[in-house]
Amino acid sequence: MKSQRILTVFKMEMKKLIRTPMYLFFSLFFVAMLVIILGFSLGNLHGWGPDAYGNPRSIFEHMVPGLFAYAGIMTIFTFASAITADRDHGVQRRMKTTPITSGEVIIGQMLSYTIIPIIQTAIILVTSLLMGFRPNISVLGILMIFVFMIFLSFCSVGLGLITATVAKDARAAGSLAFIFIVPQQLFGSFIYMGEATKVIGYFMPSQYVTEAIYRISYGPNLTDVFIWIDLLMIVVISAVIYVIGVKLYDR
Amino acid sequence: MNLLEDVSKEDINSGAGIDSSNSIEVKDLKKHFKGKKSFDDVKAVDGISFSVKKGELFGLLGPNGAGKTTTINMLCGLLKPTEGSAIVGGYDINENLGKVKGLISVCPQEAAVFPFLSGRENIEYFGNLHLMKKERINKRADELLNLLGLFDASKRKAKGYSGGMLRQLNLIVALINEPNILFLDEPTVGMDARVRRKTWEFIGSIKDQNKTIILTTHYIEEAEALCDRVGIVDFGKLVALDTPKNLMQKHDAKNLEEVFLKITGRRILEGI
Repeated sequence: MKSQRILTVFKMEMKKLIRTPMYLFFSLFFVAMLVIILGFSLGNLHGWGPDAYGNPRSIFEHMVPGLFAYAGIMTIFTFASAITADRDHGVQRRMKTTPITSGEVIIGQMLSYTIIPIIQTAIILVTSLLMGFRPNISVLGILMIFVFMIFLSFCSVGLGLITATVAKDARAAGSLAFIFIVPQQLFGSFIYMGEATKVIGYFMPSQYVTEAIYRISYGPNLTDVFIWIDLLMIVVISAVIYVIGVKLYDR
Repeated sequence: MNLLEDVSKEDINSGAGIDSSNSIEVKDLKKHFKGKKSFDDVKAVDGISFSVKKGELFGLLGPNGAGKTTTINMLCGLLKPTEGSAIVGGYDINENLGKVKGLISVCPQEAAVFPFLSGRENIEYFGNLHLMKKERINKRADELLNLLGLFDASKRKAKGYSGGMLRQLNLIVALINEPNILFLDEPTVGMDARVRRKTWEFIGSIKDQNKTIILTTHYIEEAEALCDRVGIVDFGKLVALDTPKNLMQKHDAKNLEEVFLKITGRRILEGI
């Protein structure tokens, strides 16, 4: 393992995100825009009643935890498109003729997909606070949101790898990614689908993040055992999906 | 008459035997791709053997789908051979691929660069993958960019480059690590005649630095002008191997293209 190579991959991944307008928009600004739109339209409506702890909340505030998760889910689209584009350009094959190991590539990518959700989370947090999100949250709670978002990002990278395995090119990968995005969007993010569909949500990685951010934001403190169960679930799911993604893509 | 045997006996003069003066030694290398049904199976490379001396510029010629790129892909570690072995730079590709990758560089058929990085950033990226020092990368990048006339465009993103410029950048990226063994897979495809000639001169100058080069090309005149020896591959087999001059003499041909057509055309006509 050579840090020079890992750092090189990390820097390249960050430049890819910053310099490709589509990736930049979907990674960082799309959900922020959604937050602004929903904040304006639903910030004063209280039709969903109080939160689970009895405090009055607007519909927008009910949605905010799911919007964080939605931003994480969009990483499937950007990562699958980006990695397939690299494959289309032949750079991945070229890299395989250099001394870099797949372990170094993976760590470099994981580093960048640790930084990206941190920026994502910061942008959504600030935007939603400006739009009327009023959580009962400590600094430690905010840090926990970042942790959940980082693990969701790894999970999305794994799903992106699986998408890239079956996609013929970058355009196809962008479309195929929605096979993983839409169910998570419907059953595990900001859209309220009713109690009957709640059980489906537990098959969605994003549901654990949405639920945990909800508890962190509106619950009394971090001693809520369900937050830690959600953390365990997302860590396990991310690890499994990531490993499956890497194995499938390597083949 | 078994034409294949006949061609092999007449035309394959492997030159050097397997000894320490060789950079590459390929022995009975095979790559078979399994299809869904048995009739879909493809013998892309079917028992190729040859050796390349240190400092030699060796050309691999052949019609489309003959097995040239598959052979190169096995030698640089992109494909695992089905059978056979190859020693590249003293290391077995089946056992010490990591060491092999430290000695070689590949200029692939397609311009394999990141479009969102500038020309210079692409060069730096691949230099870093070879763990080169920053100062060395910069010095070498300046040299190569100047030599190929790409210096002024080097700060522009690669996605804005013309096809010819991308091919040149592709070549520069392959040379950044000063490899001992260089694989050039159709390096001048898409270049205009002027740039192609310039690139030929450049490839010749690399050879003068005692680097071993394996070149595949569709431009027969390119192989004739540059290569010390050429191997002609067809249907996954090596059907001729000698210096361009000797091959022309043997086949009573005016140029290498005539030799190429005589060998590969004859085999097509006779359905081998």
